[in-house]
Amino acid sequence: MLKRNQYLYFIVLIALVHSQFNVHSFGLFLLVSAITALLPIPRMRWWKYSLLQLIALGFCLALKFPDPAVLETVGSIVKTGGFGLIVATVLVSTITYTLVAWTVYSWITRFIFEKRLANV
Amino acid sequence: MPILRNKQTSIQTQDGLFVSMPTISVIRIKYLPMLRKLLPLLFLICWLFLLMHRWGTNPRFAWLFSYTTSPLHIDKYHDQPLELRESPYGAVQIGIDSLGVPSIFAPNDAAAAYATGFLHARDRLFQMEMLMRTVKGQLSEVAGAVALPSDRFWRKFEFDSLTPIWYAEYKIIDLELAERFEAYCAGVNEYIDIMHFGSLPVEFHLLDFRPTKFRPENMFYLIRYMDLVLTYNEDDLKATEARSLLGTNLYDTYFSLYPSQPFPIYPDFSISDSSYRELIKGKPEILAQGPNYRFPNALEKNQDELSLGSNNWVVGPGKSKTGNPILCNDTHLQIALPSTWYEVQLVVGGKLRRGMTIPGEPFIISGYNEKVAWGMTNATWDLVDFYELDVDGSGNYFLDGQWQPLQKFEKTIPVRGGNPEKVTYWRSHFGPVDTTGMNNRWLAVNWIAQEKSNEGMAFAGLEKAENVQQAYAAVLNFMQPPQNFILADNSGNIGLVTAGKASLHRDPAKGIRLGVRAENKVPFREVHQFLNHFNPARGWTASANQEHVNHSLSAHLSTRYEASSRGRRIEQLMNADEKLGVEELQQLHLDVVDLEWEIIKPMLEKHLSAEQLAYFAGWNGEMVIDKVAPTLFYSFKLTLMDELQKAIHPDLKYAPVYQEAYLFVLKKEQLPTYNGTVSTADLVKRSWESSWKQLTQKLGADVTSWQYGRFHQTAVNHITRLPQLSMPLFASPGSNRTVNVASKLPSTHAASQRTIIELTPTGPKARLLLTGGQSGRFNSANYHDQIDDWLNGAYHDPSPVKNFDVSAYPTSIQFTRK
Repeated sequence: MLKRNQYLYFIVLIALVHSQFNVHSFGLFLLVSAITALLPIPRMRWWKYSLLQLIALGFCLALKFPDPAVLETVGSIVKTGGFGLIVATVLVSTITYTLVAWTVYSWITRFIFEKRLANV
Repeated sequence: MPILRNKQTSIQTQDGLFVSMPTISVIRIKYLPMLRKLLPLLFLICWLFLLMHRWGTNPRFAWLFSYTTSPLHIDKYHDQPLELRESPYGAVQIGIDSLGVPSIFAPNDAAAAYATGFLHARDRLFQMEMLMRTVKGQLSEVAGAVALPSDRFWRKFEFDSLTPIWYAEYKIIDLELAERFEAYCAGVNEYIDIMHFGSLPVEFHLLDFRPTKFRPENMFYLIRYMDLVLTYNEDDLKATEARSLLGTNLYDTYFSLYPSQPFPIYPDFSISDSSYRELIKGKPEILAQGPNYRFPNALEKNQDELSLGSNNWVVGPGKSKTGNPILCNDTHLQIALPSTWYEVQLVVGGKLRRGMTIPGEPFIISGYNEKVAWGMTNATWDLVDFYELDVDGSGNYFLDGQWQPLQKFEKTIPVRGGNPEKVTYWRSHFGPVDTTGMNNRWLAVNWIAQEKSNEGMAFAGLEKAENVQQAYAAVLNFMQPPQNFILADNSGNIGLVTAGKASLHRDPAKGIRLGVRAENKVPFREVHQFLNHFNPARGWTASANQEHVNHSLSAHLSTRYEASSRGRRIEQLMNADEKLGVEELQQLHLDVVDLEWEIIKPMLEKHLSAEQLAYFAGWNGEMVIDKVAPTLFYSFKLTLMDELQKAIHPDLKYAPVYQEAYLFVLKKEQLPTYNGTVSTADLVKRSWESSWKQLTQKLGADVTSWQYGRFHQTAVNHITRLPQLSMPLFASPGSNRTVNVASKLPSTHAASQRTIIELTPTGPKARLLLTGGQSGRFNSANYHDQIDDWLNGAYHDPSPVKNFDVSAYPTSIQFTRK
């Protein structure tokens, strides 16, 4: 049986993979990122968000690996090379998600927890 | 209580305060928890700014490098079979063959237009978007300041506000055609709506914007764009500048009104004197003249070098080996990726039609139905007039004896990566005025594109024509850009008609005219009633953008036709055999003999040494890639023009008609120039030496390695010019004067499609080729799969299947789901 935390991590992963495959809007992705950070996961750390996003991106790339022709051509146009394009995408996506999720978590979730603790 | 981590360096005073460095440390320590909370937010704000801000003209990093919107989503194969909901106009089935050519099976024209729109969007969405943005003057919004000159040019014509009005008017006249337009738009927009993100063309990713919904009035933009390609030039400005530089006598010596060796399209042309007078009955015009006419920014478009034209010919039953008429067409345009053309086969209500469409319109522009075939070449008429206005400096111009207000209007052009550009124009009786780059002169422009017209009516009629007479009636609806339509039917009739409007000035000389009387503005008018012939006695007819008639009327239509070399070569080969079949006509498409060699050869023989002439021994003007002689010839003839132009006047920007200039040099011993004369022998020798020097620099000192394939190469570039989406240069035969044309160095203009159509009593048999490929997606197998066929002279033979069988096609799209 999975523990409660593991369920929550799983939900975050599913949300990330699904949104990154289907949303195709940066603004909406930020919204999804913020929502996942609202899940009450105790003892969350920024690097855990990074790890979750890296795993989600790994799933995305494994499920639909980019067309080599696209990697080669677009990589050449944006001067990163094909591999560089993937690395840049993974880096940018991970940093974005981590910053959004960690900010929301630390400002809202922690605030709620502190209030609850204060009430206790 | 703050945690003091640097106690050892802090000093506490008697009143308990920390001083100096320790004071700062305490402030840091006191607010550290808040800072720790704020830091992620600050980082996030900075990060999002970095990602969302447009840095110059680069795409936003958020768009390019965030996996959500990244180009990594682009599908490997966008051309998967699809089953979609039924179109509002009925169920449509589409089978797509291995070349990406769709066969559309539809119950009516509207449903066929819907499917055509869907397919055009599927394969050419970016191309359509760019065309629409170009004519609306909205290119800078996505391409940046580099596109500002284009936007500035287009905005003055106000097509974005005129075309909805034109469309509303045409909708009242022809509801059926309007329904077809709207069905086409619905098809384009259906694709945009259902398109998965992975199908968004890479160009949208790279330029960071999404496609715009298609509107019915966009149909007018394609014709206006073709007007730009085929008719727009600023020769009037350059001619006035040249006349001001050279003086009238010297100008007239090099810029004659008539070809010295006419080779007309209509050799049997006749017109009564009264009809001719009626055609050119304008009021007397005054050409602007004076010492200060200089237009350094006038559009550089050397038509002779571009050789923007086409070939078409048809042989009748008496000249055809099979006894069936055979019609051929190849349109010379810029060969680019994606191709200008898009091939389709339509089976509408059980009736077949096939040919080349252009994304942006639902019609077959060059092709055939079961009984009639058609093709076209550009008429190369002079359709741009500049009028100089007399202005008073306070917004008025002098017209018909009084000051009239110029209507000022402003356009704001959004510029990607820069500030919006506000441009001011003025409306006048003679057309819009843009003073930018006009050297403080107020010049109004009257261009054929400003005329309201609906060419869709012509093509819709051609698609349904049952014989040449009906086809002729259909093309009379064609107004711009004027074209030589070649026609044939399966009863053995053939014909040629030049349809479109002309600007017939009383004085045919090129140049800026004074716009002081309203009647000075020359209206565009039709002349097709004089320019046509059917079933000519010689059994064939052809056009290759040369002059239409050997008559004074010729100069009123244009004084700068294409050189007659292609037309003459077509005639040579037509007369070479008593009867011709498809194979012979195919060879004619691929012919690379440059007849300008017949002019240049005696010139060289007269002025070059035997040693120099030895390079041309046994050569007949064939521009093939493995010989050295074509390299020497082509380089020489271009250099000769440069040298001649410099000799006439060093500041001359307007080149004389090439062929006329060669003939002039051939005939004369001394050539008049602005400061006396120059010896022809000197000019030819100097040109030869200069050409030799250029070739040595380009190809090395070893003459035996100067094969034409090293000198003359073809560039097939993507419309954005991105090298990664373009093809590498490759050797190609032909020149700007061969039937198989290849203009410029490197060559960028050539046959953009080839059609050979034999109309048999049992149905049409065709050989077709589209230069490039059907798909605009760089990672599609059909992106440039027909380039090799174009180079090698291969065609594909479409089978006229009339019933849809899903198993017969590698891919299918069916609009059948309820």
